[in-house]
Amino acid sequence: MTGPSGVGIGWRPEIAGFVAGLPGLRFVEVVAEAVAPARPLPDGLTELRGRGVDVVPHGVRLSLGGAEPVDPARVAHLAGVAAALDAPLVSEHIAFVRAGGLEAGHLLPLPRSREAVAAVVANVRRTQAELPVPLALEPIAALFDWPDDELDEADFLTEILDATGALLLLDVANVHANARNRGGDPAALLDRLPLERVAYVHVAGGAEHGGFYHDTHTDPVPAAVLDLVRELCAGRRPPALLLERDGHYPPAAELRGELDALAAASGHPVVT
Amino acid sequence: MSGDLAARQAELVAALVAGGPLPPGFAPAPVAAARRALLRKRAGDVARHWPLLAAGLGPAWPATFTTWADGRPTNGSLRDGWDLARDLRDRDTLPPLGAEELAEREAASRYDGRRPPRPRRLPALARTGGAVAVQVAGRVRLLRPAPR
Amino acid sequence: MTPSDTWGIPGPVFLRWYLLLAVVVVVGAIVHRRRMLEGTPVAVHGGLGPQQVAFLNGGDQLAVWAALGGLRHAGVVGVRPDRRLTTGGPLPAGATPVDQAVHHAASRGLHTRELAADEWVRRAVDELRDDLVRRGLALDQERRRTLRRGALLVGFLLAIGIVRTVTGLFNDRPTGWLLLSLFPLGLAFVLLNRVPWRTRAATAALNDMRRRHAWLRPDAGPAYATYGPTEVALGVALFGTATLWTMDPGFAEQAEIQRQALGHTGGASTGTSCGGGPTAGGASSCGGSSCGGGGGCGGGCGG
Repeated sequence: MTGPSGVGIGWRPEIAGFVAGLPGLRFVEVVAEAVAPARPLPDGLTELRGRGVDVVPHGVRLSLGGAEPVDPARVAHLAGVAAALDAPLVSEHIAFVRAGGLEAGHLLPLPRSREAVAAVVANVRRTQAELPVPLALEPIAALFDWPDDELDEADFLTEILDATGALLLLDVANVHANARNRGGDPAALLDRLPLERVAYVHVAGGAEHGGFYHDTHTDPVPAAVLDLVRELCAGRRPPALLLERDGHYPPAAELRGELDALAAASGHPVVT
Repeated sequence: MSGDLAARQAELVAALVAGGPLPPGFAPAPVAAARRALLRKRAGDVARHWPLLAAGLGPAWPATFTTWADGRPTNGSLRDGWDLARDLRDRDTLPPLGAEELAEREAASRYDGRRPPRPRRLPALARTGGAVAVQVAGRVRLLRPAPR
Repeated sequence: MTPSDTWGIPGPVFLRWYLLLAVVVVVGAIVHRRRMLEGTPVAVHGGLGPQQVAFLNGGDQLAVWAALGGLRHAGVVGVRPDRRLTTGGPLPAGATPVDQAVHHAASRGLHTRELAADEWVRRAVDELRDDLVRRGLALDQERRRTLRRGALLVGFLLAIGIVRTVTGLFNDRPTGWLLLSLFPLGLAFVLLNRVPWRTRAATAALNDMRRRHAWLRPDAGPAYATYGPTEVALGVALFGTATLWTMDPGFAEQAEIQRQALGHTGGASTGTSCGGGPTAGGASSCGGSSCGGGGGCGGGCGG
């Protein structure tokens, strides 16, 4: 499998014109729920595909961590998007987004328990059975822990990845956020993760708010996160890194600056 | 502890979005911070779907939205904004820009407050807070702006 | 006693000649029109500026709105509480004559509705149009008059047909076929009378640009902060004043920018995703200068 490579950026309709103007770009990610596989793709994505840019569908509402089985219609949609984009892989989160008939509107953490591992593994397997391409799983950022964790983060993730054979989508900003809000040493966590399974890496900005670090995707990437990227890439360099920006978009020069900083920190070629 | 993951997840979501009690064992401060963060994120999402409503409220938008949305689970950004706009209209606090946006939406789609809005097939006229909008064959025009 | 032929010409003979003449005149007018409207194709990325695009798309007024959009994005025009325009800085480098004229008008505190009629602005827009005429994209008055002449000829023929039909009806002569032929002729008259202000080459260029810049559609919620003044002006040029209302609703409202219903923000969003629901429509409240507090946005994505 040839997965994504180099420095990429999350494709959003709001910045489609900016993304289209990045000469060295080789991969982007698109929110899977924003694409309708039955309808023509957005012009911007068609153009990128025409240039040979990989487009990775990134699901945010599958709720793989939900106690109940994943909704087959959502899985079918994700598979359809992957096929429509001729994607090398798809990604989703180790999280749940709804329960008891209510939408959380957000990715929520799971208890790090055997029961939760079993629930995630069952849902990931159901999903993998329908997907035409490999699935990468992304650990999320959370502000709080469940009261009855049986495993630590590294063991929790490794067990899920081992049981499913899924790839890892490592979000460095989430690692930073979790360490900042829930304690722990980010570098030590990175050391214990199965980094050889990293398909690509997420990098995003955030901000301090009310005593917590919020992974907002609407603020600049903090220096501490770039330091973690540098540390990660000094060891086993991941094949690809992706900048996620979801709102409060800055002037083009600033966005280019963030992509350049990511290229410099990772040692990948500059895409701007 | 086994077998009750579904129930405990439901309790947590209810505490975060529907004003439910904090499930036992969770630290109150971080969960409260997550609840507020969620409301802020919803405020941003709804503003994206209702740009004029948010603009009309200006700096008061985040507070207006979060006060209204606290304890009220989302029905999606489109419907959340719609419900809020109607609520403000009924309390006579809908700003003119928001009234115009609401009138345009009401002319374009039928929304009963319970199911997702559906585009109107027949021409329609909508008046809201003094704004009047007309829709013919899917094209919406503002006939009269809201009084300022 | 049989009524005599109208004007002494038997019906079938008149009809034959009338139809022949009608076909010749209409076909001639269409051929002439096609040739006159063809224009000069724009070379790929042919260096059409936003205001030129705006003029071709919506005439004088849209060219003015496009200039105003660019100036507003650059932060050099504002609006006072009395709804008069004002300036907030010197013109950026690369300002066009229309930019200069609109900026000058803003510095004199004009209302937006007075801009297009302002003498300086008119002169600048006239220059813009003349240039487009020279490039084979817009039509000058002279050309539009010539084109109407073809329609006039068809109208003349139509009038003869009508008079003969009426006369024939009064004289109790059969007029069915003639009456029937008047309908297509009338349609041709109406259609030929509609003379556009741009050539087909310009229309093709506009369609191409709309497709290539689809990301500037207001209902895609473009991140105007990320784009420059030129792109904003192009957004106005291609997609109308909805661009101004989406970019800066506060300014658009206060300055009484011509209202154009904002497009649908799209289907039933259940937006709980990070980064836009199924359709991310409208402006980001976190980008506009007039709304939201900086801290009020993006409460953590965690994904």
